[in-house]
Amino acid sequence: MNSLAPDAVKLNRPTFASRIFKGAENHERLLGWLLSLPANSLMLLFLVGPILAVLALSFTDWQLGMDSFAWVGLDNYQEMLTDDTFWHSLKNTMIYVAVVVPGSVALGLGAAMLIEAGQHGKAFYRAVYFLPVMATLIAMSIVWQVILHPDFGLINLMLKELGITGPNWLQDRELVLYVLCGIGIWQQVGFNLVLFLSGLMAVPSHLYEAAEMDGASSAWARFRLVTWPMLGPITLFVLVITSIKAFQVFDTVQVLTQGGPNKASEVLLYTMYTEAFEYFRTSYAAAVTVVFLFFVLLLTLLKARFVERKVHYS
Amino acid sequence: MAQIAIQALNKSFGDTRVLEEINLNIQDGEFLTLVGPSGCGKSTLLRIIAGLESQTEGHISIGGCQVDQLRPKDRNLAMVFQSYALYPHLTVRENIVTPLRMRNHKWYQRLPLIGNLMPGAEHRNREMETKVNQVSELLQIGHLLDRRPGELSGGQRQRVALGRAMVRSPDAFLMDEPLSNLDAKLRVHMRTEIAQLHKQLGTTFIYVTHDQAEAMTMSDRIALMMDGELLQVATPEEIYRNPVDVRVAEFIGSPKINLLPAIAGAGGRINVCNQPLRIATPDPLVQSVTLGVRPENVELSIRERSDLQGRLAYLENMGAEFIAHVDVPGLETPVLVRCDVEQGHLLKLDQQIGIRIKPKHALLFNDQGRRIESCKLHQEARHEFACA
Ligand SMILES: Nc1ncnc2c1ncn2[C@@H]1O[C@H](COP(=O)(O)OP(=O)(O)OP(=O)(O)O)[C@@H](O)[C@H]1O
Ligand SMILES: [Mg+2]
Repeated sequence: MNSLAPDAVKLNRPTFASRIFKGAENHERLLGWLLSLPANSLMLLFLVGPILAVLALSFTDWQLGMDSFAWVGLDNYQEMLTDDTFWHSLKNTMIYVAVVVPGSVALGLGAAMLIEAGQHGKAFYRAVYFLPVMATLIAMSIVWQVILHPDFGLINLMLKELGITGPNWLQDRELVLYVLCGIGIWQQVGFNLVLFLSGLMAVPSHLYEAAEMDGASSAWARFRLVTWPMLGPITLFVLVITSIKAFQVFDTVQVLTQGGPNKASEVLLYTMYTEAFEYFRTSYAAAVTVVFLFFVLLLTLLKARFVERKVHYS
Repeated sequence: MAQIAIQALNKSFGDTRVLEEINLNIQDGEFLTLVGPSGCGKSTLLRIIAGLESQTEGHISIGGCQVDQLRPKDRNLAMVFQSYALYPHLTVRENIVTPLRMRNHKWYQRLPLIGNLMPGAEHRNREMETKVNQVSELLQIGHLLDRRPGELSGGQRQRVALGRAMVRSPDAFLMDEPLSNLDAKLRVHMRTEIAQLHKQLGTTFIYVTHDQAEAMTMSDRIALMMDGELLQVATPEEIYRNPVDVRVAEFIGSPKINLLPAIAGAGGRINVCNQPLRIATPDPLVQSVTLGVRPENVELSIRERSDLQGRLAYLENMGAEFIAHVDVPGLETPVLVRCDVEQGHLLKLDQQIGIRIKPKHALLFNDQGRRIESCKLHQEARHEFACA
C-alpha cells in the first residue's frame, strides 16, 4: 500500500491541477465576454440589427404607419417571383454590373499604368481622375442631363456638326441602360485608378529588371509576368468594391430616368425605393432588399473563400 | 567566347558623376570581383554591363561585339540580384523555367492553355523539363521545386536565383552581392559553392561585393572601386601585397593595415615619431609619406632591437592567433601586431613593449595616397645608408 501511495498521488495531481486551471480558464473566459459585452451588443444593435430587422420585415405584411402586422411567410417573395418589374430590375442590375465592373476596372488599370509609366504630372493626373469620385453623383447627374439633352445637349450638338442626328439618349429604351453604364464607369474609374496606382508603386522594380534579363522584353510580356500577378490582391479588392458599388446604382437612375422609359432602366435599389417610399409597401421593399443583400453577401463570401487564397503569395 | 571589354565608361545621374573613366577587360571564363565600399558605383557598373542602365559615355563589348545599343535580353547575360528578385507568384520550377519560356517560346506558345496545343509544344516542354532538372540537381534544390519563394529560406532562395540564371547557359553571369542577405556561416558556405560552380561551368563571372574577404577568397582577379573610380585590377595576391593606392591597402585585409604618418629625412630615410626606420625612399623630392605595414609584418620585440616602443593597450584572442594593439606615443591609432598563440599567452596588458617593422614588406604612399618605391636599408651600415 505504502509503496503505491506516491504513485497514486502522482496520478491524481495532474487532473487536480488541470481542474483548477480549467476553472480559472473558464472564469477568465467569462470575464472576457462580460468586458466585451458593451462593444458586442452595440455592434449587434447597430450593424447586424438593421439587417435582421429587414429580414424579419420581409416575412410580414407591415406597411409604413400601420399599427399592426401579420406574419405572411414567403408571400412577399412569391409575389416577387411573379412581378415583372422585379425581374426587369434584376436583369437590368445584372447588365449594369456586367458592363460597369469590367469597364471601370480595365480603364482604371490601363490609365494607372500609363500614369505610372510617365515621367511628369503623376499627382495632377491622379487628382483629375479622382474628381468624379469626390463630386457626388447626384450633382454630377445634373451636368450629365445637360450633356445628354436631345436638343441642346453637348453630345448631340457635336454630332450635328458631323451631320448625324443624335438619339434621345435617356428616352431610348435600347440605349438608356448603357448610357447609365457609361456614367457609372466614368464615376468609378478614378477610384479604381488611385487604388491601382498605389498597387503599381508597391511592385518592386527589381522584378521588372529580372523579367527584362529573363527575356520578357515586350510590354505585354512584362505585364503578364510581373504586373498582373503582383496586382492580384489589389485587383481582387477593386473588383469586389466595384461590384458592390455597381449593385448599389441608384442616384443616376433617380435623377436622370426614374427607371424609365417603360422600366428600361429600372434597377434593384430603385425598385426598392419606389416600393418603400412611393407605394409604402414596406414589407415588399424589404424582400427586394433581402435579394439585394444576398448578392452583396455572396460577393463578399466569394472573395473571402475562393479568390483571396489565390492572390496572396507567401 | 565571352570576353567583356569596358572602354572609357562614364556615368552621371544628373549632375552627380557616379562612374569615371572605367576601363576594364574581363577574360573569357574569368571570375572577376568588383569590390568597394557602399555607394562607390559597383551596382551601377554591373547594371550598365547588363543593359539595365545606360552609360553616359563609353562602350561595352561582349565577345568582341559592341552591345551599347542592345537590350538586356539580347546581350545573353544572366543576373543574380541582391534581393534575388524571384517571382513570388510562381513556384521554384516556374521561376527557373521562365528564362527558357521567355526566350524560346513565341508569345502564342506561352498562352496558358492554347500554348500546349501548339505544334511541337510537348517536345519543347520536355526539353525545358530536362534543363530544370539538371540545374536543380546541381544546386540540390530538387525537393523544393513545387514551393513558392515565400516558403524558402534565404539560402534556398539564393540557390533558386542562381538556378534561374544558370538554366540558360548565358555568356556571363553578373551577380550583385548575392550573399549579403545570408548569415555569416551560410555566407562562407555559399562562397565556396559559387566558386566551385564557376569551376564547373567555366563561364565568365562578374561578382559584386563590398566584403573584401569574399573578394579575396573567390576571385581570379579583383577590381577595386572607390568613389566611381577603378583603383586597381589585380589578382588577390597582388592586390594584397602590392596595393597601388593607400585606399586599396586600407580596404583589403583584415585586420586592417597599419598606416603610420612618416617623414622622409636625410637620404630618404623614413622616420616615424622621430624614430629612424630601416626603410628609405629613393625619391629625393618626397617629404611626408604614409607608411603602410600589415599586422603580420610587424613583430613584438625587446626594447633594444625595436623600431618603436609603446604600451600594450589591448589583446584580441582570435583563437589561432592574437592581435596585439600597441599604443605608441605620438601616433593616433594603435599599431596592430599579429602574433602567435605562444607569444600571445606571455603578454600582459599595459606592459611596455617594442615593435619591429619588417622593412621588406613596408609600403610607402605619398601625400596623394599613391604608392611610391621603398627600399630596405642595410643593417650594418649604421651611418652611411644605402638602398639594398
Ligand atoms: N537612379 C539613381 N539616381 C541617382 N543616383 C543614383 C541612382 N542610382 C545610384 N545612384 C547613386 O550612385 C552611386 C552609386 O550607387 P551604386 O548603387 O552603384 O552603389 P554600390 O557600389 O552598388 O553600393 P552598395 O554596396 O551599397 O550596393 C550612389 O552614390 C547612389 O546614390
Ligand atoms: Mg549595390
